[in-house]
Amino acid sequence: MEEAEFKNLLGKYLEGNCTKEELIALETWYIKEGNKDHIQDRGLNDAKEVIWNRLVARSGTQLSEVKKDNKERSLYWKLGIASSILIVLTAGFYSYRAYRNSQTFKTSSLRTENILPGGNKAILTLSNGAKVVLDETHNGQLAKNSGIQIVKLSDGQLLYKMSDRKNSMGSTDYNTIETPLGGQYQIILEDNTKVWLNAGSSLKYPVVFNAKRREVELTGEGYFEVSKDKQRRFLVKTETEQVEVFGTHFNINAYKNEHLVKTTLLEGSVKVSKKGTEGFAFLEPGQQSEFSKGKFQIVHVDAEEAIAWKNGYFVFDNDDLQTALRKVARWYSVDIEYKEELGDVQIGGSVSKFSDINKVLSVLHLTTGLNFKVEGRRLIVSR
Amino acid sequence: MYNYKNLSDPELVDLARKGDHIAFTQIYDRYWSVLYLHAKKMLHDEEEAKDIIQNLFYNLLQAIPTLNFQISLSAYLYRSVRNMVLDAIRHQQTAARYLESFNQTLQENHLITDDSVRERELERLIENEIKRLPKKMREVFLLSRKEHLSHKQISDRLGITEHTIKSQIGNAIKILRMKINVVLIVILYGYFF
Repeated sequence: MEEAEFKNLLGKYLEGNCTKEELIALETWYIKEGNKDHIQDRGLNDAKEVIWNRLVARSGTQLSEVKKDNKERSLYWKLGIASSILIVLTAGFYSYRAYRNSQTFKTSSLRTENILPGGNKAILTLSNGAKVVLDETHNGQLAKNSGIQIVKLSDGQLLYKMSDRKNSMGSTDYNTIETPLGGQYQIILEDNTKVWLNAGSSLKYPVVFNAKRREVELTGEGYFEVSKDKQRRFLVKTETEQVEVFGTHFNINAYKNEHLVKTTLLEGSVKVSKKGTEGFAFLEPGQQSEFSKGKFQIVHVDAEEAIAWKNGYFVFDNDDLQTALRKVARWYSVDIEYKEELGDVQIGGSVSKFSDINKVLSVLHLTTGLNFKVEGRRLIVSR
Repeated sequence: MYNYKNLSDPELVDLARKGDHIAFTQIYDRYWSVLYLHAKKMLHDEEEAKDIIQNLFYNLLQAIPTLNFQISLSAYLYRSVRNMVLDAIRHQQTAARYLESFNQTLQENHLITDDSVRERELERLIENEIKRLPKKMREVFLLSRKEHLSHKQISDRLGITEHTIKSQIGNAIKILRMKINVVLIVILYGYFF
């Protein structure tokens, strides 16, 4: 049998159109093929998460209520963190006393910091200027503001819930949520719009949206799932660009240190416009607008890749090296240093963003042949 | 609330069918690993394998409300992954790689003609992967083997009333407590004298 015939047979089998003999042959072969000795790595790595995250992303709202796995994991993580803090404090206390007693000076050696992947971290600034640090502890109601309850849910989510409609009318209070390098957070606004903020980003928004328009301000990167409201369009303003929608899913990448502002549409429709001018463009799902130097360019992209960060992994899709490394730098909170001029290097591949940084670097090394070394909080790139 | 880990496969399917997504998640937790390792082994490709498993569970999610499970969950899953692997091979540039071994199978002419034997062999092939799972994942998979019978199911099986079961268990516990107390007393008695 030749290859074309073989493929044809497979087709017939899958459609249920083959003879009994053909079926028996194929199924027997499959079992024999499977039972052969295969050389393989044990690697399960992060496959479970990656697959699940893609599944959740793809199934939209069907699985969105289910918090994956994190209960067990964060419990162990919390236990781990609690005990290591305890140990450090104790050690510190004893060595301090020893120091006091001995009255000698010790020079502390340079500590190489642990480069850890990022996590759910952010700072919320309330309308009265008060700042709240949102970390893994203290769930529950954080504050009440203009008839809205601000609740911290577990797993990095902040929820704005209407509790007193009368009180909320006419409110002009704004809150701001900021993620540091190595942070990320999700916020559910008063109108049920969901926003995921990537590292080094901020979102300023009214606690209660006004009756005519819903307007927010973004720096950095955010993925939006805007709740439908035909009466009130939703506006996201960045420093140079503005995105207007009625109800839809899209991602905006507007980091200051990226030369393109990218808006990627997953679902629905949006209008992207240049601030302060008449220039604009409409996007359809799967399209991305790239805005720089006052001009828009529309390209077709794999929209799922644009939001890979929200689903827990890095996707480098023919990104140039510098762009790819800036993504890594923001998440692991490191500085990049190039030992030499490297020219045009393209990167492809994907890796879980909760991996140890060395895993990410080895993926980069494999695809580019360049050397990556971590020293302190610096990532050094060379040939 | 259920402890989903203690539910049997049919119970999970039943809940998932009614829209219980935590039940669906438990199904994923139990089966994703063996299915993934199997697909990876057959295709020699991690990314393709991830794609297949994602598609498989996506299809399951869509189909589960209307599926009438005449066969067991595991049989359904194993058939699905096999078919998806075959489909992937069909689309590959390198189908030729499999062709050689297929031709060999035809030549040997030692085919498994019995349907249920082939099904069992497929099951064995895929479940063999548990050997390569870390201990915790293996335990999660093995939960699918347990048949957890509720009081109602036990009573149905034995033809006695649910109430009797409960009181039997209640009595057993009482007797056990009494026995433990006796033992303690004896121990204390023995200690002091």
